[in-house]
Amino acid sequence: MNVSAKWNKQFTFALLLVVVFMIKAFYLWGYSIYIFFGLIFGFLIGFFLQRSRFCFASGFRDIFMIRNGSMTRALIILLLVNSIGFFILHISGIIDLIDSGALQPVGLNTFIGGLLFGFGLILAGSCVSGCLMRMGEGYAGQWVVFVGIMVGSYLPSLDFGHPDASGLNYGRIIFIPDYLGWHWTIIVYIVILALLYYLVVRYEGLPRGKVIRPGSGRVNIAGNVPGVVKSLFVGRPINYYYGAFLLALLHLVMLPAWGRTASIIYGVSGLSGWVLNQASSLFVFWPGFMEWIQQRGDPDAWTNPVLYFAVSIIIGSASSSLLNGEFRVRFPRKPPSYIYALSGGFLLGFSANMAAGCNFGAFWSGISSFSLHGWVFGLFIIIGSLLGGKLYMRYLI
Amino acid sequence: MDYLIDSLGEICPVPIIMLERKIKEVKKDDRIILETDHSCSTSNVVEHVANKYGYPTEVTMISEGIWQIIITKNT
Repeated sequence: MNVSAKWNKQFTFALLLVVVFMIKAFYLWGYSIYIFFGLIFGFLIGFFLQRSRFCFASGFRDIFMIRNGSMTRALIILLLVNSIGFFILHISGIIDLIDSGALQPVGLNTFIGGLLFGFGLILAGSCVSGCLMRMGEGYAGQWVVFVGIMVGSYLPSLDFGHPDASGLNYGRIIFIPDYLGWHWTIIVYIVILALLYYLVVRYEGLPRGKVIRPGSGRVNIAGNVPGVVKSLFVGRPINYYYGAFLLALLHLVMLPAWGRTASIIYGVSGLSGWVLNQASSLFVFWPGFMEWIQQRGDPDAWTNPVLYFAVSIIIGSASSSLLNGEFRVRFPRKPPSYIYALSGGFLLGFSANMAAGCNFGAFWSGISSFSLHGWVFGLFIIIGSLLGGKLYMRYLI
Repeated sequence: MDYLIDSLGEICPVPIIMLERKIKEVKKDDRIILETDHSCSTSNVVEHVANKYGYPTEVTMISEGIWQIIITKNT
């Protein structure tokens, strides 16, 4: 089989996809600049997620499951760079985190949401962003996870302080700088993240000797700028730390430009509402269900920039994998995988709705916006995935 | 000796778990060839083996979206 010829086909398709996407994005700019930004930033984030194989789920799960903290350390770097960046942007008046940061109540919904999210990511094999990334790469199983996420995120969440529900609010927003002041907040952040990094490294118990990675060696950046730029797009995957840095950088540009932090789940639940409304003729025999959907009064999904952001992550990831000849439609081998995928996705969507955000919205954006709910969510995801991981290793492997 | 692990169709964390089991079994200077179609493996298997054991790895894409990761147990 002539592999190079096929790679060229994928490469051509990648370029075509990017061109068509850009045309569509610029066309939609005329309609709404927020949709345009959602498209562009989603694309870039999806692209670099795939280029660096950046997987939040691995960061939560693998440290305890296989004592591998590579992604966990990269997540810590992501949070560190991003929070310091947001801090600087806020202090200099470029952004106002109180206005556009990811601030959500922390309450029972955050604890339970985190646990369920942790369980869900074990079953689904990914988190919400990872699912979108892998959909773009061709994983059929992740498309099933996405259906689960659509269903789970659409159901009304258990009302523990969820701001969008009936108005009951047991939790409250805890914006850390309100309690510690900005100087102490940033110091505490740096100390805690550094401490977590150190703990991860200790727990991993890395060997003291030389660490050998393929193709590693000194990279002379100054002498080879075009080579370095090219390596961002094609070739070997970007290492996790650089990926973390790139994603943080994208977020730091995105928030001032777009006015929103990274988030996915409310775009997806909007999509679910839209799909149900389109398929309403199918439910003619079940009027109660139709009434319920109509009562929810879902706003038009396709005016929500977050939906465009989410869809563009898929397209960005697809472009990246096509560009490198890595695209392949992959089907899970074992039939039970589809059940795990659907139920895992359901848990991910349901818990993200409950906790007012997924690994992007609540964890990444929440922590970077100095909101306590992000930390609590993250902690309970780790606990949930630890418990879920143990069950997985015992019964499902 | 070369050992082949076929993990096509599996996603994280299965390829690493299969690899871990095999690493314990094989002897010094044996090579394990992990065949996977999971893109994450090209990063996380490499990092895992490099950090935990310091074994050299070599990654080759043998077909669209299918990789062979060769791990040499050099201790």
